[in-house]
Amino acid sequence: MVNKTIKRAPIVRPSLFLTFLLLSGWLYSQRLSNYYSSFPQENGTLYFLKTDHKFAGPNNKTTLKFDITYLSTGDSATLNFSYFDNKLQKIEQLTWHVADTLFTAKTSMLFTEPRKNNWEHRYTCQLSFQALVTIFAAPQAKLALQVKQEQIVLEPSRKNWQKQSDILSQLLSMIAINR
Amino acid sequence: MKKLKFLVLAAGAALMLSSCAMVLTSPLTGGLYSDVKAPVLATANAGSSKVGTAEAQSILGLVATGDASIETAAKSAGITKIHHVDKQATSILGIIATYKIYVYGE
Repeated sequence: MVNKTIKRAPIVRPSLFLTFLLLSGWLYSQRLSNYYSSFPQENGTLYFLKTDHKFAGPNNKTTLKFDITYLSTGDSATLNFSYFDNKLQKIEQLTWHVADTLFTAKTSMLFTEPRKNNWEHRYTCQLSFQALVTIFAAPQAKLALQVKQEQIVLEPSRKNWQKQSDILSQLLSMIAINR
Repeated sequence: MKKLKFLVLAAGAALMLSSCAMVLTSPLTGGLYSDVKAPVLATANAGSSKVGTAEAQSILGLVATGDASIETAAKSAGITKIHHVDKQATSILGIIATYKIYVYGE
C-alpha cells in the first residue's frame, strides 16, 4: 500500500527567517549613514558621529563609550564620553595613547548619575580635528583617564577598534572633503 | 476549505506580528524592515553647536527598555537651549526595534 501522507513544507522556513534577520542586521551595521548625522547652519555644518567603540578596563569592570560633535568651520571637535564605574570618580583629563604619541585633553563634567549597579560619569573635552584623524587611523589605541593621582586605562578589543575606527576614519575623510 | 484555513492563519499571523517590536511613533511602517528619520520639533532658538542622543530598544514587542527622552538627550551633551529635535525609528522583522532621539542646541 502506498503511503499517501504528504509532508508539508512550513510557510516560512526558520532558517530563511534567521538568515534574513542576520543579513538585515549585518547590512544595517555596514551603512556609514547609521553612524553620523549632519545639520547645515549659517556658520558651517554640524556633524555628530557616534560609532560602537567599546573601551573596557581590567576585567571589564569599567567601560567607556563616546561620541564626537564637530562644526566644519572649527579646528577642534567636542568629544563627549560616558565612563561607567562602580566607584564615584572625578576625572581630570583624558589621554589617547596612539603608538608613541599622546593626545591629552582637560575634561569638564556634564553629570554623574547612577545607572543600574554603576555610576555614569558623563564628561566632555576638546580635541583637534587633526588629532582625531591621527587617532582613528592608528591600528590600535588606548585611553587613560586621570583620576587624582591614579590613571585608569581602558582599551577596546582589536577587532572592535579596527572595525569602528575604519568607519570613523571614512566619516572624518568625508567631513574633510566637505569643508 | 484548505485555502480558507490558510488565509485565516495568514491573517492571524499578520495581526499578531503587527503588534511586535514596531516603533509606533514612526511616520511610516515597514513590516520586514524600517529605518525612518523624522522631525519631532523645532524652536525659535538660533543656531546649534551641540548634539545629544538618547535611545530605547524593544525585543519582540515583549521587552522594552531605555530612555529616549529629550531631557536625557539634551543632558548627554550639556544642551540648555534646544534648537530642534529629530527621531529615528528602526525595526528588523518586528523582532528588534530601536527608537533614537537627536537633540540639537546650545
